[in-house]
Amino acid sequence: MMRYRIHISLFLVYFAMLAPAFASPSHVKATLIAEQKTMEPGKNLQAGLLLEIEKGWHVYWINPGDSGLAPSLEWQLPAGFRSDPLAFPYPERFHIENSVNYGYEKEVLLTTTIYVPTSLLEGQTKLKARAQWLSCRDVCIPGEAELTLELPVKNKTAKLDSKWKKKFRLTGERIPRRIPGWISFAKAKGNLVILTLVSQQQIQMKNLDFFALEEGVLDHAYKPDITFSGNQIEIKLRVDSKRTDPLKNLRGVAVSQKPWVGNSKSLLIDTIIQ
Amino acid sequence: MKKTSIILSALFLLFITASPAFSLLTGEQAPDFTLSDQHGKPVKLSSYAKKFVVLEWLNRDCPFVKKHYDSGNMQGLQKEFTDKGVIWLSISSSAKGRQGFMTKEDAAHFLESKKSAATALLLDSDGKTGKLYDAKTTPHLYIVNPKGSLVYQGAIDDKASVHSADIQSSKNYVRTALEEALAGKSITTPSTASYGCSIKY
Repeated sequence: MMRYRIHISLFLVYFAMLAPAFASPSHVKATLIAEQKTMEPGKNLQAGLLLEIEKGWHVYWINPGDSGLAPSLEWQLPAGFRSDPLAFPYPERFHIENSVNYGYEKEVLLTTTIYVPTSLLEGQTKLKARAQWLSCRDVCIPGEAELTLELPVKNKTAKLDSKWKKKFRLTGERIPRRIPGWISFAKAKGNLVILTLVSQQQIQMKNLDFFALEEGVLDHAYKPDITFSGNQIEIKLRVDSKRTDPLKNLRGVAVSQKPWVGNSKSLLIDTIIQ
Repeated sequence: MKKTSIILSALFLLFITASPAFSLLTGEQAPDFTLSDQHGKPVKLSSYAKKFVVLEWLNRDCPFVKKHYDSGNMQGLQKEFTDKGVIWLSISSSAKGRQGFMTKEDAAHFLESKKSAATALLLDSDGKTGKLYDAKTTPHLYIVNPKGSLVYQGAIDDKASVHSADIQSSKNYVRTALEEALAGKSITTPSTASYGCSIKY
């Protein structure tokens, strides 16, 4: 009998070891991580909010699409520190119900640059932040966590943390950026916007997609219609039919699984509509 | 000849896939519908001609809906405008077996327990009316004027969040639109991107 009980409790311990990642009722585990092991006064630091998402659930991009809400991170930084807004890697499309959402499954790292003051003394520094997110499957559950990132301060060049550096590098490749050598312009045509991207080099694209950075701009469900000719790509997008005023600017992200340049798969577009 | 018809049907298919999903424009006639209310009584939109009508999509278990009901914000808005003669129809489009599905008893209980000041809570479990209005989220709000035209569609306010604490500093689009509409003015912001949970059709 006794032995039986021990077995059961061992089983429970084993189970508890498997479970804690998603002990949170929102089905997301949130952690603050840094790309480097130490903090150097006067040098920037790459930090991030890592969201590990239970299978079947998703969290949202900066433009969540037809429903949902993007995660947020509110730092409570010590005096002299500053942070940039969160950078969101390009999303995936989810077709749910009658609507289309933009977001992430499994895992996402939202990165930010932290500016470390030059006056910082050697020792330990704690950076605190409050993370909030909405995770959805067929139902949605809001989640939040008070998080801490603790790093030693050292007056020498910081080494990258081998545990996280790959994740930061791979995420960096997915963060939309302007890429020299690509020119973009857009024109309106009825309820469509035609975005043209021109490169000086031969174009090699794969699984091209486009996501507007803001809600209420494009019809999220409309899969961009793409044509190539020579060194240019034409992307037809449909304007959100509920808009009552004409669209003046197009701000979004063009994604190609074959990188635009180097390893960058997402090209930041910010262009006026002629 | 055969080739032409193949091309034509291909073109036709293209046209179908490329044709816009049905979407209602602000200023257009609001499509009529009849739905059962919390007493099982049919309610027809066009029977409220000559009145302003608010349509409010809800799902009692959606965190965005809870934000506005648990804080009393939605009920306050309902009371403020039903007192001025506006008809307020809350609508549940959750399908049977899905989150937020309501029987008429559930609907009556919801109205009472939440102290809702809505005129009625209508049940659209087959989702036909929700899809007719292209309702995407809960909450999602529409305002129909006395002539039956849609004058506002979109979010309740400008702070997409699940936190009641954000309500105070939010700009309530529905209040502004109703105040303008009741004063006979044109509506400054007739359409916004709604925020919330997807509708459980």
